[in-house]
Amino acid sequence: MTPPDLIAEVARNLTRKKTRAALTMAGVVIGALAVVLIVSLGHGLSQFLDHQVRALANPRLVEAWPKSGINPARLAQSMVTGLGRAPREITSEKEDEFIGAFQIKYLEPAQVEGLRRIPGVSAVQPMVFILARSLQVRGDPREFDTIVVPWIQAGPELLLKGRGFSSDSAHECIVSEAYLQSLGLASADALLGQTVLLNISEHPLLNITGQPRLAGDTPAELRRLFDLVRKPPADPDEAMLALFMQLGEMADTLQAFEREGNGTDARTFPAKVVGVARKGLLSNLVYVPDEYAREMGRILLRNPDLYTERAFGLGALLRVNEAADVPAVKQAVRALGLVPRSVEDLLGELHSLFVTLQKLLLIFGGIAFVVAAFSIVNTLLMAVFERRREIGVLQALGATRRLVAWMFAVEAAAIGFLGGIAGGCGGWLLCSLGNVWAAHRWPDVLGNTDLFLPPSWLFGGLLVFTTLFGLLAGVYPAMRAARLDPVEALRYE
Amino acid sequence: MATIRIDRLTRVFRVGDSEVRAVDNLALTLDTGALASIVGPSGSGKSTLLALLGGLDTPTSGAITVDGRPLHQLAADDLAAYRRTSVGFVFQDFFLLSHLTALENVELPLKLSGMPRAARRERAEGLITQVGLTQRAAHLPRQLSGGERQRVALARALANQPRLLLADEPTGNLDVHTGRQIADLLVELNARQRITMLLVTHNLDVARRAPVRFNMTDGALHPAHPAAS
Repeated sequence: MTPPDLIAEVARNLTRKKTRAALTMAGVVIGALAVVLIVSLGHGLSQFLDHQVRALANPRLVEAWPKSGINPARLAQSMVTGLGRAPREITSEKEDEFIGAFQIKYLEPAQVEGLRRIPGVSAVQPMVFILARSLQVRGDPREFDTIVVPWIQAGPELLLKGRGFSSDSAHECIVSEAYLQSLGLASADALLGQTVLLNISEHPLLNITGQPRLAGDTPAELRRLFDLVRKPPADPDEAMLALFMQLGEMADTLQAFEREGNGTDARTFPAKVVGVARKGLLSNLVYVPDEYAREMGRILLRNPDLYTERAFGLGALLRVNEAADVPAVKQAVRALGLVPRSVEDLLGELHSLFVTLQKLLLIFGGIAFVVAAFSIVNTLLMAVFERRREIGVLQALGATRRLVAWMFAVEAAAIGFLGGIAGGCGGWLLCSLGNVWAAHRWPDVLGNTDLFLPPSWLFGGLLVFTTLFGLLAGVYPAMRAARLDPVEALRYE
Repeated sequence: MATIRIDRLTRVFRVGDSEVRAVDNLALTLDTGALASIVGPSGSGKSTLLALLGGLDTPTSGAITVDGRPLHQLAADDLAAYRRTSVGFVFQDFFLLSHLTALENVELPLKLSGMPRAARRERAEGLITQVGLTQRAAHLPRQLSGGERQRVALARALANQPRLLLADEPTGNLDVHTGRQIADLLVELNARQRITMLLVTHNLDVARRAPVRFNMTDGALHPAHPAAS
């Protein structure tokens, strides 16, 4: 039998029991539909973020981080380090893996000097962290949430209106166009030239102590508390009383600080608006000149030496002359014993995050496919049973066992293929509806971007998968059909 | 030259702990173009013998050669090729595929042989005409009478121009008149196309139409006419 004849025969067999074929196909359709939706959503979000990051991040920027130092994942692990395993030894190389042993380490001057000598690097600046409370327009009591970012991190397509900064230390800023909406301004011109106040906070843990520095008698009080715990009075009642009294004294001291004023280093920085930035995924960004940013960053840890040569910072930002030089610069950073990171790395992490999420979600689609597989096997076994005599006739007329097996396997593959088409079309339709819904739901965020964006390979890949999946599900029934004894099959009533 | 040569053919079926010798040490020789009939009671092994001759079953022991082809030595695929190219079957229950028209049923063996669509359609139409069913070609089996169905089955059996035609009770489900017509058709085909035919039947009138006749009892053949060996 020629392949076209085989396909025609399979098509005819499928239409003999239309309802049964449709119900069998339903599992594949649901699975395919779920796959299209999940993959399209993941791809759409991934593309959206990719576009946003590329538009707003500087592609000529390379971060350099020490190999040891802050390692959030390992630090989080160390919180439950004793859970189910023997205590680990803390060595100087692994201090950053233990929350209690971890110490902030700044880049060393030699490392910074090494970074500056890398060919193709035009500037090396510390990585600045700014904790901003709010943005206010001078004369307007309203406060708006904000994220203050050094200008060096700005992307190429950022400036919508206005100009860049007059100098690295100028008291100027470029604000996101989203503030126009918050401030109720009709156009960017209304904001340009105005002065905004950037209220910068310090680290919340420092803020708790209530003073720029710990009070002189606080360590003594702590020592007394520890002594009390270490060598409590013999009488338990007396020990408990002494403990409460000591804790009460400390509480009084801290409250006294609070009454005297919060005593933090939080400050307000004025900045003249010289430009309006294109709104990105984060709509509350405010860019400030790099040196002005460093000044704001020193508030965070109450360290006036931070971001100077004495305490350069946790990481460095390298501005590369040409984007094409970024790989070579990263290589040179690695050679200095530091860990480089560029926009591409960030995007790679984002993509891998979405791929992981997709994999998790695809498990649900996989469940539908498992159900579909059982359905196909069941339907085809019934078909083999019902068509026993027919199989016998075909064998009597010269059909080989292989051909009989192929007839059922191709029938299963056809169920997968047609289910893939139906599920793919249904998924595409739902994606289109989802995009309409999302565009209405988040018009400011999404703009013209599709939330559900099927990748170009999806429908082809889906059809190949569902067809092979059907074929695989059809293997067992096909083997059963092929093993039928023709004499027995012809005798079957 | 002999078409069929069977030597000490035995087919044993195991039923529970006991053995049933459906064909027992059977010997037979038939020349090309012979028309032979086998008569015998139910369970005497007639259908088993046809299944062995048609390559649907394999013997427990003994040799069975058709047109020089040792069926007892052939692999499953070779037996399928033998059925496809050299044998035609006619069954008591017709065994037409219910979802195919008369013409499509006749086309089926040609389709299995991989013949192109146009050529097989032409040949099937010729065969349908040959059995006198031109006007019924587009009908489904359920729309045909018993005699018409058997004519379609006969046309299907002849589709691949077989050298051997095996008919298992070809008139068993037909009335006397229709049965006679089918028997006439078989005899005519044998005479005109020199196809070797072996008819298994309960109908003595049909059996007598064959020049070579056998009785079969307990898995063994006994000549009922001097021409047979």
